[in-house]
Amino acid sequence: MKDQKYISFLLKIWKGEAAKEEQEALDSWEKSSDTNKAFIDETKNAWDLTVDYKAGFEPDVDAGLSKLRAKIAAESPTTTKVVEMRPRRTFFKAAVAIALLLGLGFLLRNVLTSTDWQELRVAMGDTQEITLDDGTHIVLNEGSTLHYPQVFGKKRTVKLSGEAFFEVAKDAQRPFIIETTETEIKVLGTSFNVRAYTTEKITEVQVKTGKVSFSPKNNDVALTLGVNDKATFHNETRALIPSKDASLNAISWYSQQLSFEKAPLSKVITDLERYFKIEINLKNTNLETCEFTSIFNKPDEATMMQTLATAFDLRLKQLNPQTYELVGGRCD
Amino acid sequence: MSKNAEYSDEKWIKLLQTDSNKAIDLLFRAYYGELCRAVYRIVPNKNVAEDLTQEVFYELWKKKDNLIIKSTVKGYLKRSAINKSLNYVRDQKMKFDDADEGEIELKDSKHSPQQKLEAADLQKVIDKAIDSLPEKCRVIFVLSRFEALSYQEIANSLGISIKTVENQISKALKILRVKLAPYRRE
Repeated sequence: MKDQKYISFLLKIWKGEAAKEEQEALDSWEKSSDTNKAFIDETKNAWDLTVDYKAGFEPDVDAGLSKLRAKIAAESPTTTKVVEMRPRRTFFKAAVAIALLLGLGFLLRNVLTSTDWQELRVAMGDTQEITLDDGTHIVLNEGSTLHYPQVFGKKRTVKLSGEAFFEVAKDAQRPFIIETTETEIKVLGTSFNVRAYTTEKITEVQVKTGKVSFSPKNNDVALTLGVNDKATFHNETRALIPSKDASLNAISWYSQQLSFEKAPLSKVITDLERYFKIEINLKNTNLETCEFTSIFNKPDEATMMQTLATAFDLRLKQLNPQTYELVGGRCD
Repeated sequence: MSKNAEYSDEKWIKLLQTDSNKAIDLLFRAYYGELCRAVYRIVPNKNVAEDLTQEVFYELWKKKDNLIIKSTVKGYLKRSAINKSLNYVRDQKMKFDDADEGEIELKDSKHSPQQKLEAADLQKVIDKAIDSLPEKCRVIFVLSRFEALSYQEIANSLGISIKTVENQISKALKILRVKLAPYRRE
């Protein structure tokens, strides 16, 4: 117990707060026996060595900075500039509509019912961007088709087959509606991804910002999805299922980035299969819950597969250009 | 590193407002490693340590237009990182209270032979010795040893008495004295 007194003196001395009497008391106690001296030396030694605690931790600054930038970019909205333009356009359109109502009886009916539908088709291996009449910005993924009117009327409706990322301009008066073959997605102003390839038997929506209402056509049931929510509609079973863990990588085709944050290996594999259009068989299913954290920008397939193999000590086999096998391995 | 000496703190704040990308970039590269280590000393998980540190910079970016920094930018970032670390360990249900003050009996080292180790091995020994401290004791020791917080500040941060802080640091030193006695620096 006496030791405590001298330890506290030492601590004060190291902080530069010790009174003269305390320094002197310590010195004389130290000199009074070899045991005491050894005690003081060992305590000083311990204090000295501890300065290196965790000094060996050298985090990857570039990786950390990329991750931070990704988070900052996700928070920077791009729809605002469109909103500023809207009031003028609405005013103009309102003025036009009034003029038509006043002057042109039978022509009016034509204008309202004949919509000037345009078609945008994107080939395989390609992506294309378009900005619509109201300022809504859409990026279409390969093999997709968008039907849209040249000018929006009372409703803003487009038809999508394939996959696209939408940044919908805010317009509280006119909800933006996306029709796919099986479902309808209604939005007020937001950014989200829709995946509805006719070759896949599902329609999937993932929201990045804002709110979306997602429902099967001709059905009163609708799911409201908020930030990072995802839901999938299964064409055959007609089931609309919300998903708890929305994938950070649902829009990888658009962002060219694969991002994993403590993702279970099973999910990493699913995302890689989708991104590279390959099949990956994990032989040791016990590894499905291994956690993986990393970000890859514009990754190439070979490097990505090798990185994964190395991370979990797996043996990588390529059975054919589209199929890989991962054998053995361990989580840590 | 010398690049950052060009910026005084008013200039950092100004740069954050005029060219926030460049400011965040420079600040991150200058302080990320050091801040991660500071957090890692308190929260013994590398991934969490990096996440919390990134949050520090993220919040700096969010507040960039309303910043009032009373000390240096580095001090501000450090303080933010420590606060986040303490909040994290608190959320992990690590109870800080004045109970649990039991004495520990330790066998004295009795002049064990000095061991000279490779730097990397010595690092491991040091990390292991401090990690072996009881959680509360370890955090208090780290705050005193590395963050130059006064006993009063530590007591306030953790909601305990100054006496407890003193006792815990002495307890830490007692344990570490014995565990590290066989080792010396090169």
